[in-house]
Amino acid sequence: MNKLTGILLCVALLVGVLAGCGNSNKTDDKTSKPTINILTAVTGGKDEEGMKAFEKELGQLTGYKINMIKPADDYNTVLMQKLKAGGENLDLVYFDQSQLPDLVKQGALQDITSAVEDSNILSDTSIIPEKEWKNIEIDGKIYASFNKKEIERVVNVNEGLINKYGIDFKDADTLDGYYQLFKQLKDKDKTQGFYPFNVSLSLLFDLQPWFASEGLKGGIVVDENGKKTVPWSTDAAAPVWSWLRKLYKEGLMDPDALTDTTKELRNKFQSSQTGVVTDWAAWTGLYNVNAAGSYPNEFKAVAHGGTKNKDGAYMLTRGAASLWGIPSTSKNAKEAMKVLETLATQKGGDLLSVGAKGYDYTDDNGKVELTEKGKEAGMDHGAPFPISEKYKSPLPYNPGVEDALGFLKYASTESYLPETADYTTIVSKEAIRMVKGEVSVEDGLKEMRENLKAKKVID
Amino acid sequence: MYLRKNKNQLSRPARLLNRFMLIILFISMIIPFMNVLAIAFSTSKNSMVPGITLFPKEFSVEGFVLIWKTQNLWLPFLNSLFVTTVGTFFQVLLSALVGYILTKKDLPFRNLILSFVLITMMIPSELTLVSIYSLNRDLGLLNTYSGLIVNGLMSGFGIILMKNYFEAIPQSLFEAAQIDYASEFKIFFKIYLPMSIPGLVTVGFVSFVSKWNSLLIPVTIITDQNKFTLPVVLRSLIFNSTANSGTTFIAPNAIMAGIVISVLPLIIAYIIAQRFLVSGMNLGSIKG
Amino acid sequence: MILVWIHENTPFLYSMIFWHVKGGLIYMKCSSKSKSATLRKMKKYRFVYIMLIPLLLYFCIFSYIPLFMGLIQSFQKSKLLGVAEWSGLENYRELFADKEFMASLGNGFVIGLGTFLLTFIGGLILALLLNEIRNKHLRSLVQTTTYLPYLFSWTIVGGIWVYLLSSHGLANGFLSALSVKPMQFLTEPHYAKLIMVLTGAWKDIGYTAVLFFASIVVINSNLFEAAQIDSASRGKQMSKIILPELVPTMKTICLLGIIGLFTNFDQVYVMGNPAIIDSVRTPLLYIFEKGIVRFDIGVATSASVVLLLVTFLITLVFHHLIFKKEWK
Repeated sequence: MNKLTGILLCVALLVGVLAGCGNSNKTDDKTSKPTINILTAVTGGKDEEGMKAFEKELGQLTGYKINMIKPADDYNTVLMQKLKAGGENLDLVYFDQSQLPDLVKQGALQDITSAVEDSNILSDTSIIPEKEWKNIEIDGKIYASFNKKEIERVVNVNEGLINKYGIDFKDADTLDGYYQLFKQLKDKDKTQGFYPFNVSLSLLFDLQPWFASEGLKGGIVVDENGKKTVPWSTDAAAPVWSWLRKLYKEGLMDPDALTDTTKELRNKFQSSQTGVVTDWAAWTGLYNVNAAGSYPNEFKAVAHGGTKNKDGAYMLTRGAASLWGIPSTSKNAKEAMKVLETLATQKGGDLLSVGAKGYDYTDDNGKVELTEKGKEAGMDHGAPFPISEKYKSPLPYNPGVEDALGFLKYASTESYLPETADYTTIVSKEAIRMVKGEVSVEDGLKEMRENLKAKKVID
Repeated sequence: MYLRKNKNQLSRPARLLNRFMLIILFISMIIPFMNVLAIAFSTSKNSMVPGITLFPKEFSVEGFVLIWKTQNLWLPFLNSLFVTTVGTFFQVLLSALVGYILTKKDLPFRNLILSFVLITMMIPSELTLVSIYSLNRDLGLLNTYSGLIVNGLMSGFGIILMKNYFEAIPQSLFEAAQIDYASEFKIFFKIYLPMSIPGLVTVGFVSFVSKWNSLLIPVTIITDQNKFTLPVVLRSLIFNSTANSGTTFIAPNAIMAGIVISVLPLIIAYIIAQRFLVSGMNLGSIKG
Repeated sequence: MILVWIHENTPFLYSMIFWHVKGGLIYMKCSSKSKSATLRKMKKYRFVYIMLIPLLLYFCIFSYIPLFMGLIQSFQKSKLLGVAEWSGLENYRELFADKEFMASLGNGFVIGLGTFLLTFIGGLILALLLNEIRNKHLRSLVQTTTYLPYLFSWTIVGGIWVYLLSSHGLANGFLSALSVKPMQFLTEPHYAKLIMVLTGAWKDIGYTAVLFFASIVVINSNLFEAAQIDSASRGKQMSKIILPELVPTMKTICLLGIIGLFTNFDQVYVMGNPAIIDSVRTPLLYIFEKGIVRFDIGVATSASVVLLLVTFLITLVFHHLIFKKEWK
């Protein structure tokens, strides 16, 4: 081997690999149908084949060619890359409400206020109630439309345990009522590592059903004077923090509540290591389905509303809206609006929940049946509960879900301001310290307020 | 061979201490792995019981069936295997070549080239996050296997390690070889490469692991579901967002089964690599 | 478009960055010798240079171009879409006014250095201990096991450690056996950094040991032979033969460790929680929170640039201290 061969080898190694890549030329078929490029996170088919079926059906419903682009993971990174690289011809992008203010601030989204007003479907308040739009308005303007109907987090009680131990429990509705329930559960269930109650203190929104007792709403609340406040940091919140402290101290709350995430909570609740957790209404059904043979005797998740405020109403958290926006570089804004309209129809709702007809389900003159693929997808193709108020699911929900959804009228969304991230960090940090007993509730709240003020979360 | 017998001259207490420390390390490191295995082979119900389990309560492969069937894990598995193997092969070869060149102490601009390579290792990937996407787009590398291979084809890390291993080879050997072989390339391929098998294997293995586990590049350049790689698919299962009201549920046994599947090639690769490390020892003592 | 840009700017950019490098650590010693000698050498190695061109080009395209694009972004007002506006040093001003960023640099340094030192020493000891095991199978078993944690991502081992350190975990089981009150390790800000260092080192020790071990096995056994004739004890053999032979490897591992000082992200992302995050937030986590969560690309890239410069400076100083002789 001489030197020249070596050099050639070296060049060939690099250039050869590089050259093999030029063949990614996409064939743009210049038909009359415009192509709508959609960047999606959860919405769509579960695999390549399912995605094709999804694209095909959405294409039929709208009359366009639909191209769904789904990043494998790290959706935010990809969204940022594609927008920053010039929009990449995207016509619709998915994001959630917490990102909306930043996206608008960065000039990434088109103002669709008038397009929504002009739309027969989207402006129909019997399909999408006024308050839904109000919730995602930014300075009176609309920059996004809905992916699905957001549901609420309810108190899930494993009534399998309650029946097993013959505990008398109807709707307790007060902090003390639940305290008595936890105490009885703890006395009777001697399983190693069992705790009657668990929450995820680092996520905070689990706590809303308990702060309802004092009528306090979570998150940052802007009062009538336009001042930002955090009700959970006020002295009025002290009784609830003290109650949580008491539960921790008396071993009624799982000590891991300080570090647990929703994932651990779910596993513990599902395996009867915890009696009561807060979770999404849809999960009441999933818990029961996952329990398989144990349901309904040994395991039965039942939704409750938590505590009531002095007006006798529950207060629950509703999920942050998951949204679709049109990037400001899109040239197909009109067509993209049509897609958004379609998602709010009955047929669009079927596609988003049950799936694509012929692939996920069969419809034999109104007799709807899921295929194997449809069963695997679990009636969720992005929106287990479609946005339209008029939507009727062709198939029944999982056991317990119908009841759980009954609490939706008590639920409201937390605000999403640019300061929300700081709010969560500060409040949950002090929450952990107060519940652990590192500081008294009084001092903890004082410190919480000071920190909130320092970060300009409250005025 | 007589060498072997006399080699172990550690005193008795030192030997005991040695054993003791290794056992502690051994235990601390085997527990997480056993835990993963135990959960993977549990039923979905048992896998949800919190705690460190070292043996499954009821043996079951349902997690593996579920993950293989519903998630079509075989496709990302093969994708990963392909791009990792090809990428590792090129990386070792190129690292060795550049590493060898950089051992030439009298090469003008050597230190400049060296620092040129070193600096690439300090760049935080966050700094290049946006531009690496447009770069790949402009080169037509989006959604291609070539893109997965080319990004990270060379690393300063491999080059520096190879340079280090080559430098351990005595200079006298090189001078002797110069008489036998006229060409530098012959010296490189016939003397240096075979003498550095432990180094080559180490670099190969380390780059195999990092390519196999690579997340950022696949996420950046691949949106075609047929070309997803294994770690990306796995991570999206593990970090299945719980903060929104989504309803996807994959039991821990299936997730752990996915993890076992993803680590298996790495363990096999390591066991193979180890054999070469031992044989490298014999090769290293050939010369006189 | 990028390629054209590269084409036009490469020589300039290239000379810009190396101007400083040349003046600092990696100063080329050609002034004392005559220029013609250098030229002669260059001629001798001309094929080597031609061979290096594609390889260096690779680094230009895949490392330096994105680097400079990032640099430019750090001087621009962050805007996701539309024409970017220049904002001068505004991003940097905002960055340095943020206490969280300064704290993250400190956290990153302490955790990074602690993890590195522990990994280095632990890895070296492990490699030496492994070398003492004569039974091939036993050694293979121990070696594979100690390597296992390195193969798993933090997503997995992080989760396991969170459990091990929780109120029911092994760590508290151990404490209660010593009748010490159980504690929630991961909610104690005082221990947070220590825990990150210990678990970080635990994960990487096996890997560092392999790097050392690969060097130990090539140490010429003639050296041992000679030592045995002198009937040196095993301990003496270790300190007199193995350790000096390992010095180049040590230097390399040190260099790689110093370069990777601030690369901790996954670990704190997985194991962190609100109670301790202020003591363990590393610069990369800070950048992630700014750039990906908040889309504030301007500040995120300027933080990355600062991080690059800090790493560069530390490496420079370190290099100067450790490799000083070699450059002469």
